[in-house]
Amino acid sequence: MNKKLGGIFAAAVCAFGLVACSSGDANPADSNGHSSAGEANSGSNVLKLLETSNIKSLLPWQATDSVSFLMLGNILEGLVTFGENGEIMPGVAESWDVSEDGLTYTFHLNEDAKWVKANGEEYGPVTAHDFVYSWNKLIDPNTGAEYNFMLETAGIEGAKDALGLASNLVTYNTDSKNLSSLKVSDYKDTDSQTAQQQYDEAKAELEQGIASAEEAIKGLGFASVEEANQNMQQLMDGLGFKAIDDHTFEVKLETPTPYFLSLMAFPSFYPVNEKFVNEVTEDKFGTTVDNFLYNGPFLFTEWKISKSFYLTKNQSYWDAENVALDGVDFIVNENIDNNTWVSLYTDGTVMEAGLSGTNVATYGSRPDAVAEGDPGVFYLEVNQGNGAATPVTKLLANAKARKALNMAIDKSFITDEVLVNGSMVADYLVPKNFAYGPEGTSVEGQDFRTTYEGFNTYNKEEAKKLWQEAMAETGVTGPVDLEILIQSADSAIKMGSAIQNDVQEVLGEFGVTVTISPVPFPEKLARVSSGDYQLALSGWSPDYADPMTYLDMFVTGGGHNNIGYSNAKYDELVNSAKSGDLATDYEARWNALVEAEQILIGEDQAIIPLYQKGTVVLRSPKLVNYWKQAVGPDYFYKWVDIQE
Amino acid sequence: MFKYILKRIGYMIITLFLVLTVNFLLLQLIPGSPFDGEKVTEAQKIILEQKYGLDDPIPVQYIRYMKGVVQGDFGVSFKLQNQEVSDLVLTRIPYTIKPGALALLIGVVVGILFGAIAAMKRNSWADHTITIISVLGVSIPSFVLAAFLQYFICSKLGWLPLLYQPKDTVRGISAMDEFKSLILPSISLAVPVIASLMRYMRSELIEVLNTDYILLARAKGLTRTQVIFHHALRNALIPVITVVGPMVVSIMTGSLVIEQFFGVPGLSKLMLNSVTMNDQFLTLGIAFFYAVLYVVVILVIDLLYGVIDPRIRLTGGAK
Repeated sequence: MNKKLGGIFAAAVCAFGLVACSSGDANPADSNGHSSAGEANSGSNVLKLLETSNIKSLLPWQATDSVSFLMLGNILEGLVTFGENGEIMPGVAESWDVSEDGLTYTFHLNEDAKWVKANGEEYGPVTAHDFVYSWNKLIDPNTGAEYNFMLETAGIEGAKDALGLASNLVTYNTDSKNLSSLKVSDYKDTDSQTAQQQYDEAKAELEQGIASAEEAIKGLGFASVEEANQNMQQLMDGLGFKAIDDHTFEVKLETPTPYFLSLMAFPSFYPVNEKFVNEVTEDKFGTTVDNFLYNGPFLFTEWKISKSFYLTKNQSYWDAENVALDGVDFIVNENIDNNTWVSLYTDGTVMEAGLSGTNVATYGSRPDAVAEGDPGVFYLEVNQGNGAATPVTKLLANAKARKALNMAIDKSFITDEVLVNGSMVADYLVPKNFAYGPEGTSVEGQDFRTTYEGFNTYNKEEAKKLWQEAMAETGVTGPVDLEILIQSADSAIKMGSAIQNDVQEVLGEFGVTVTISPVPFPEKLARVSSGDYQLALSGWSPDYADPMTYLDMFVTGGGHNNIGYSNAKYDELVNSAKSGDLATDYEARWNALVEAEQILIGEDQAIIPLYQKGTVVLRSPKLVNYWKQAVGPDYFYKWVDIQE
Repeated sequence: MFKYILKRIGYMIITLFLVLTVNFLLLQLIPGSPFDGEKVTEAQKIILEQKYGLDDPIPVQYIRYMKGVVQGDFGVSFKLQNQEVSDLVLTRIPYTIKPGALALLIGVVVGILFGAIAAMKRNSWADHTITIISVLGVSIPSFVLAAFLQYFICSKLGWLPLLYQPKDTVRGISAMDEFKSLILPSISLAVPVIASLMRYMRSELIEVLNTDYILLARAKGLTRTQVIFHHALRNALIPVITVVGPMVVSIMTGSLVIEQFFGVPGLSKLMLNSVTMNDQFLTLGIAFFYAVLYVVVILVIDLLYGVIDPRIRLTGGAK
């Protein structure tokens, strides 16, 4: 950045004629600033980027957002890492053995993998204990980690029980607390119910919650809730991972998990050095670059919130000789206008610019424009049984009504006219170019998306017919006003209007009107999870490279099933593919997932898919090996090089 | 004078207390929890709420928060790595103050100067030009101006940097570079100030120039320059200063769009994000800072009156 910027400034200074033209100020070689960033800056192979968000957390067990993941993926390293097209490459583990039954993984850690401080000083070797510590943090109920379910997802022995117990204990304690503070005097008589009745109802609900939590706790083999409270620790200690010795880490699974190895590149599974955490104290760990310990290809040497990040090559990294970049220099700007970003790209200040809005059309055909696929899928959640029943939800609980809505929406208008960023129309839930058939089966390498194409598509006439049938079946007559809950953002509102137009055009003759309600994100989430909505525009990005990350969302009573969907056949297929008899037969499992999607989307139209996200970026052609990853950190800069 | 200032500070503390209380209660009305997320389960949310004490009754939370504030602890951000609210706000204050102060300087100097010129040369071409400029300045939104300036001066002509660049020796960005990158944001912020100050100054000065004591001063044989500098300007400035106060605050708080265009890491965007993400303590902290700014500015303005016009010295005279 320096020379170029220096040149621009020098030119600006001269042109302005305000001060004498001197290059002294702009010459980076003269500066004696922050030593480590300064050293790295003298190298020429520096990747220059712009980041539009701040890091939310550097703690592997707490991070959930893409910027935090991107940083973690480059300053820490998991057991494995991803190469081109998500190919699994050795990370801290130089090799691994898998038992015959696919249930035991033994990782042999690279003895050259080291912990390094921000100033480049070596701290000690990365050991199996560092993984144990970090994974324990992830599941510890006191952490409250959003991504603790990843341990269960990975199929690790005991994780499901421990998570289940933790969540039941929380329910039990909260409900008990609420019950003890419940008072009749808090309620007032209404037209339909007396205060006493309302009180009794609330009390019964809480008591039922407590009873079912207690039952679930006892189901796990505990005599009482008190015992469970005490034994939570025991359950955590019994989890299926342990350090055999400093450099051997063993993981035991409950069921063979085909995507287990790829999960090991996910930031929630990265190691953390306990000794160092205790040295800097847990509260301070990860709050500054010096209060963090690194084992990845880069060190985080500068963290200025909302200003800049600097990653410097880690000279002590075990594979340092294959890391081409000297550093990665981020301008951090949450506020940036897209035109400004493009200007920064064209004048060479940054090497990549994301395009949005009209700029996608303006610059999208440049030779350096790259369309990047993204596995994020957006859809309308349809409330069909979550919360209070109204005539509208009664109608929406009818599959024909949902299909009619799906067929009434011209999704290509949204992708081609509203978003215009390479997004694709989606009539499906599991995205394209995301999950491929497992090795050693007849579907090996096959894109999951190509397995079934017969989902319901745009069809105005069919939509009218189905809607009439749905009205007849549910007995709902008269005008229906559908409310679509969307996040208050520009593009979401435009999308909402497009849906509103289409639905009213096609179903308007039956008295259907559509209202769009833009609300702030937290409010949207709160209303959706409490069932206080009819339709809501939502999206889902995958957590691991398997169709399951999408398909297990809508199982009966599932944590993310906000639509109140329930289908026994679908539940059975998902559960058997997860942990039942199909889990060991990869091909049968694959077919079960295909069928589950057919039921969920094809037959029941539980949700109304809209589009699969696409992004277009301008990227310097000089960058090589710059691979976007489908899951986990977006990029591993380890492989990237800049060729003049 | 000292007693007066003490009394005013007392009132300020009461005002700030009320601001915090009202904001605290209003924020409780925002639906949803700060820990809502697409992938957060109910149990995780409860754990986090317990961790931050959000499951306590509101009076308990309120007292705990107020106790903290009295001890200088404004809590932590829920969304940004547990960073202290005071740190987050303090690191951004310079980036709100720098362009704001520069804008104010440009705005006040240019506005008063042009307004005075317009008044003195009433109905001349200069007066008409200045009036037209001020109408334009008031009616063109600052973000349009910012986009326009950025496009021509930065993108087309390349005279000034596109983005704000904080001083950074490692990357070779000097204080001079920082100053240059502040010019356009400051001008964009200053234009509305210039425009309204010009109109105020013009009408006030015209009024003062028509008063009897100015006529008397002229009759005494003072030159026009002497009359204007010693008598007219001082008197015309008093109402002008009254409007400068709120302008200072609106420059500091209303710079969201400018921050966006020029990438200034100021408080506005932080405030906006904290509100939309339900980051309670952060919102409270920033609102508190704005409130402090406002009451301090009002106090300073009140004290300035006395400096400009000895008749309004507040020690004994008025009360």
